[in-house]
Amino acid sequence: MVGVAGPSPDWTMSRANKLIQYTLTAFQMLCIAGAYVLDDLSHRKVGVNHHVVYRKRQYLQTLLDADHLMVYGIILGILLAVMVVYLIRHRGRHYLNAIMPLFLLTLAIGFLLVLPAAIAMPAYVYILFLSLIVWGLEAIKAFIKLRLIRVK
Amino acid sequence: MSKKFLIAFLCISMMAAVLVGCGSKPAEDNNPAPEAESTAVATAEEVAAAIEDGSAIVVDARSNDAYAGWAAGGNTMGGHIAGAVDFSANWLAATFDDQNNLDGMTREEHLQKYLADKNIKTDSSVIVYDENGTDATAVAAYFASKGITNIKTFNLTDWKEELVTYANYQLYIPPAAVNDLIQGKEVPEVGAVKDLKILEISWGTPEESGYLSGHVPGALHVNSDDFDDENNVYMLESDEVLFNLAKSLGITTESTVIATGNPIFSTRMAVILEYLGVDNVYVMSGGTTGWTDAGFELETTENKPVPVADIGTSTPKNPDLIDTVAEVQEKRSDANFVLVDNRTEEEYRGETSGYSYFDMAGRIEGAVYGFAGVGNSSSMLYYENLDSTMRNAYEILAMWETAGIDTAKHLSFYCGGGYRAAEVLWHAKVMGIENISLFADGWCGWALAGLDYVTGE
Repeated sequence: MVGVAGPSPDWTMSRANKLIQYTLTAFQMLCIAGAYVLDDLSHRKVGVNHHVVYRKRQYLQTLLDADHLMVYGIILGILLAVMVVYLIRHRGRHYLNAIMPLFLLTLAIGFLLVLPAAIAMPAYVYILFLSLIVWGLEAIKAFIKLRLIRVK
Repeated sequence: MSKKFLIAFLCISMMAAVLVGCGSKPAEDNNPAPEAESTAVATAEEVAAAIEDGSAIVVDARSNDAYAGWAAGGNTMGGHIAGAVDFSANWLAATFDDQNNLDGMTREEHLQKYLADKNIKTDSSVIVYDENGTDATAVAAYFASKGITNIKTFNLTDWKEELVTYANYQLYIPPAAVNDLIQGKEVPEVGAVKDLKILEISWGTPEESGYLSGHVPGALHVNSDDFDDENNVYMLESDEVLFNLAKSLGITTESTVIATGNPIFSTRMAVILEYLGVDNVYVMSGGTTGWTDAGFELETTENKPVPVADIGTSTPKNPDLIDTVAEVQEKRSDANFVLVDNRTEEEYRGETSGYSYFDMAGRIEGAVYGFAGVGNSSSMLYYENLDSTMRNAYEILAMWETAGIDTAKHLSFYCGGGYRAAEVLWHAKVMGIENISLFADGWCGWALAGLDYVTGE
């Protein structure tokens, strides 16, 4: 086991776990870069623009219509509440460090779902999907961190 | 003393050798150097005899606009010698990206295709003509570099017979003539200009589209999304939207409109305006690259249109120019009505829709394959030269004849959503074929309407 740099480490992370964390972070960065590139291309290339706008229209009428959005809103609300309750019950800097990125990402996805400026982006649907992947990867990272904290 | 002199002499000799060596390094140039001295000159009688008995292929090396009929851009004689083929010197020098182009072909691959299209082989006898002495020399040098040895040049100004033009060559207006109009000069083919409107048609806002990076001076930007229905697979908008677009651009039926930009965009806009009732619509040949290659400057400031309340008609004056799905359904059983499918072979066979966002693939039953391009839904390889000018009309007609497209019948051109087909329709107009229309909704409109279709060969 290799200790993690910090003033009072109460949990440690193995080399393998660190590698997993870095790998997941790298995938997250790739997703964010992909979203950026797609957004840029959707403002420069007619083929890309028409593709993403057409797909957005399809999804806004199906998986992202008002009924579905309400369900997603409830799910996000529950997730946020669970995280808040968990943090209240497990006070400590490491719990906060493990949960906070996921909490903020959950909030960001909530904003992405409802903010008109976000929905107006041509590549909105793809950016949303990539954000969900980033969220999923962050959830895995948080799970690993919490598991390590609890083991310790 | 003599030793020092010897060392100095050696040093100077070595430096001279290095410098001479650098100077004699062959320049990297795709275009072979002119070989004017080595090319024999043909007489008018020889050219006439070659046309008559087919003993040599007579090649027009001037611009495709000149070949079509324009006496502009440095050429004083519009049209071509009857029986001559085109191989423009512009194809050797036009701005062209070997790596990034819609056909996925290098310039050399294009040129090889043109040689094959015109049946020019290494054992062919060729007479290349021009007016300025440099176009024919450049083309002759290219032919020579491909192993063609029997080449002569000819100065067209020595030709006393009448030249042949395309029936409506003026519909593709060369950059030089557009520049004359901008300068307020008279262009006989265009006639009196009451209200000149130059349009730059491309997708996106002025910032997104590249309009602000450079456009023909005075051009107004038209975003293709303004006439494409975003809610309906980018098919053509309703008449009401099209009329409002014309009004917002300040266009009336009396305007003289020059459409510029990528040919599939500019011809689509030109067809729309003709459909609405604007009589004097022209498309600038060669696109924006043709403008800069002709030596003209681009403008980078935005021009704002002055809207009009009325364009001069409230209903389309040429409604038959654009077919609807219902009209095609009704007419296609008519033996004199030919649906021409201007898409890739893969789209025609139903192997792909041509669009990443559109899942249905196939063709309208009874449609004749009419060619467009290769590899993607924007390529116009079979209708455009590499400098974005119109392909030789005789070759297009021969291609249609092979495909079984009878120009004596009514031809209704369609593609996926009406862009490629609009360019083919404009070509047909240039060739003097008038019994034509554009099925603007095309395959997407047909498929979305749930109508019968076929796939395969």
